[in-house]
Amino acid sequence: MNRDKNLPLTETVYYILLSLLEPLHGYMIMQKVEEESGGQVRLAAGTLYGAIENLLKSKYIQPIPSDDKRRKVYEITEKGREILLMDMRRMEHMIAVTKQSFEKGGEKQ
Amino acid sequence: MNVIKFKLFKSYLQEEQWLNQLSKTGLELVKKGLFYTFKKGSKQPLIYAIDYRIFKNKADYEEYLGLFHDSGWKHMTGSIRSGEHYFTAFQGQEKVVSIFSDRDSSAMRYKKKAVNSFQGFLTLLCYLLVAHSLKIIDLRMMIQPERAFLTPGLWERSGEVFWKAFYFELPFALIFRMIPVVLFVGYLILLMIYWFWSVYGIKQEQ
Repeated sequence: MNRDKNLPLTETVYYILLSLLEPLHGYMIMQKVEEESGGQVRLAAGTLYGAIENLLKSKYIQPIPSDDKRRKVYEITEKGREILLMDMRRMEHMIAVTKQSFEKGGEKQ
Repeated sequence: MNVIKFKLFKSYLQEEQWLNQLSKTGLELVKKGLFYTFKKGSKQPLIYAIDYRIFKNKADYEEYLGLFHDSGWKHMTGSIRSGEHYFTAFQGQEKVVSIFSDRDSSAMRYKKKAVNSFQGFLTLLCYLLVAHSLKIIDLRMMIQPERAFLTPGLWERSGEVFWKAFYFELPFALIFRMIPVVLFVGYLILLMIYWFWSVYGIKQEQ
């Protein structure tokens, strides 16, 4: 099966896309990602700015009109949702197959 | 009174460390062109971070500064097309230690700089190739400078007639023919330095 060449997503990109299921500006993305990852993924400003740039280029997210010039608001696109779901399924499969293998070997996770 | 310094670095990491050290002696960066300009401030240690980015428009640049400000970074110097941007962490922000949270994005600043300098090189190369094919520039003039002059029979003339014609054409020869070629050679050298510098910098990040 030919799979999308953008898969797997990096942890950074995955969490950014996930956070943008609702419209957010840059700093709110950082806060939400930190929260949703249980404090494990702390995005730094330079990394986030570069990631937003790339996601806009691949049309996974789009800017939406906002009043604050210094805080552009973004949301996920249809294409972005698709890739996010594809990556979720990819991980689900990995988890399922890992569990199976451990169970066969009689080990418990 | 301002303090002016000149120094070259092997990588952004080294440059950041140098700036961090200087902040302990009370020097705070206010401008970076070819030279570093510092003002004398408090001896509070600062944490510097250098980003490299060129912006297409003002709106993007404003947003960029806004994002860094929101996340605890003070913009010390840099402009929309300067490339390098110097930030320091706000006091009391223990959470922020870097403007990059993964290695890829921190190595990206070197790649961007190398790509940008390569674009400048390509523009110059295109001009030279077009000019060469239109016979405005003869690339052999790097060895024989007299080829930069196009006035027929110029070198056979002598005395005042020669000098008049020579000085008349000199500005054109310099601006349109000699300087682009000299720039081109200079650019090639600069580009090679940049590339070595990028490779070294990226290695340091890993």
